[in-house]
Amino acid sequence: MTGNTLPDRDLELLSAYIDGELDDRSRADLERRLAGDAPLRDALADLRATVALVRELPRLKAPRSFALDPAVHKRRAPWWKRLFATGTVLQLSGALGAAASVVLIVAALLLNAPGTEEERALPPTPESQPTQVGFAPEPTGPPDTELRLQATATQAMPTASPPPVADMALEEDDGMAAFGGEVAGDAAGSAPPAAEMAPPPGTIETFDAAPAEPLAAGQSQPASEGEGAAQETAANSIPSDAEEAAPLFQAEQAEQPAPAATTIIAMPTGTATPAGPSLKGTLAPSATAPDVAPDEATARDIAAAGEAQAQNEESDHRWLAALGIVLLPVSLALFVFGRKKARRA
Amino acid sequence: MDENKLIHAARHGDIDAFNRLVLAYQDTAYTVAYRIIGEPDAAADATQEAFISAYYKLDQFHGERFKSWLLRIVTNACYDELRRRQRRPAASLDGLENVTFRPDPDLNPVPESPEQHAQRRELNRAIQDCLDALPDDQRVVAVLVDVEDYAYQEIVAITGLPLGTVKSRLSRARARMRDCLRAVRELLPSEYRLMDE
Repeated sequence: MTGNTLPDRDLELLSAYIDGELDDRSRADLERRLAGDAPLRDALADLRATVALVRELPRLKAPRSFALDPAVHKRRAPWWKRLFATGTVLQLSGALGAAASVVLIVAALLLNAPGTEEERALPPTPESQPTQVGFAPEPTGPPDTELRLQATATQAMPTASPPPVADMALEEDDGMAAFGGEVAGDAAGSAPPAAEMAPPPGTIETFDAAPAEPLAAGQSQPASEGEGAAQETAANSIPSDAEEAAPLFQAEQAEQPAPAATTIIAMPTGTATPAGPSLKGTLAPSATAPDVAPDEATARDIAAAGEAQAQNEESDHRWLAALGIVLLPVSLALFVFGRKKARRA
Repeated sequence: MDENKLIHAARHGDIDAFNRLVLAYQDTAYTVAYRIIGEPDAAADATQEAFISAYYKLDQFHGERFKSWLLRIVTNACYDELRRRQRRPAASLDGLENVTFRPDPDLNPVPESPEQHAQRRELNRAIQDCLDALPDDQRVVAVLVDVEDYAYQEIVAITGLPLGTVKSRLSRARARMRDCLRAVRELLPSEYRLMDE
């Protein structure tokens, strides 16, 4: 049978030649071969006859109209309208909005929560110091020092209604005597808990002005100097040790990573950073109000500035919360609306 | 109305504009479907599905030749129908019976004697049977090139096949058709008798 033995490549060439799909070079090569190859010519004739037969097939008339029924196939809206019509976008945006509003509210609550890093970083106000100390005692220092600091803080509480300075000075002697006696008893051993030795709160106002110095001094002295040295009262030791005590506290500040306890002690004196001379100024003439007033004014200014800053930040946080609270119901409404639309669709 | 304007209107929801396109191309679409599937009812179903699909896929039409784009959808609908028929052989037997007894509607009826008409019907049926005997992938190419007279590049666009694949499938389809038609040579007019007869 003609053409049956033709290789596939020749069949492809003949087929493309019939359709006029060969490039000039291929067509010229094939025509050269056809001129000298009778079986190839016969195969070409067979293929041409076959193609002609198939092309004789009549075109058909559609048995019916394939027009679409407008009642069944509704008019197509633009893609963005269809997208919104299904409610998917509304649901998605509603869910995202609700999530965002929850995040906003939680963030605002966390930022406004007490004890955050931001609040710790704020300048401590005199009113807030005792509570700060009471809540966050630093465990890094020696135990007796911590207790003394706490005692100092609790003693600082009554400063809102301070007793007469003269009384305080008088009581200081008594308190220090008692303090010294107790210290003497425990001097050979570990330092006695300062809270136990602490005089009643009202009597410590002057002691609170320089509580750390004798304590800091006593922390190192009782062991080395023995009973006699330990019996030296805080009042007597303050003037002489104040200059040494300040560096000691500065050293403690450097050792302690959290400055809460340190600032607590320093702030009531009004001289947190200065060393000996300033301490002296606040300690020795502690009975004179004029020296304290400027420091308090400075502290008040700092406190006011801190409060203002805190209020500003709080107001920012409130805005966040308000935004979240407003956004939440809107988002939920969007979500519900989109869900209803999706169900309808 | 211009075809592009009809397409634009249909894309924006004008179903009447789309129906005008349907009326313009439904004979071509049905012819291709019938030649590929070989069964009138199934071809009509495939054609209808293709138009519905085209209506909802108009957004995917990007300005190429609309007829080629439409015939690609028709071809895919035919493939789907052929796959369904392969899963349900009984249905295809029913279809073959229908083909045997259903005369092909002719768009260009030529005045002819009843004898000529009967002979032509037999010939057309024989050619269609030979087409039906081709593998599906070869038949699609053969119908598009030899029945619808498309160029190779259009076949590439419609079927998504590489040009070399189109050429090889077409040549194999023609070789099979040639061999098949030799078996019914007594039906062929003298001008179409093959060389070895």
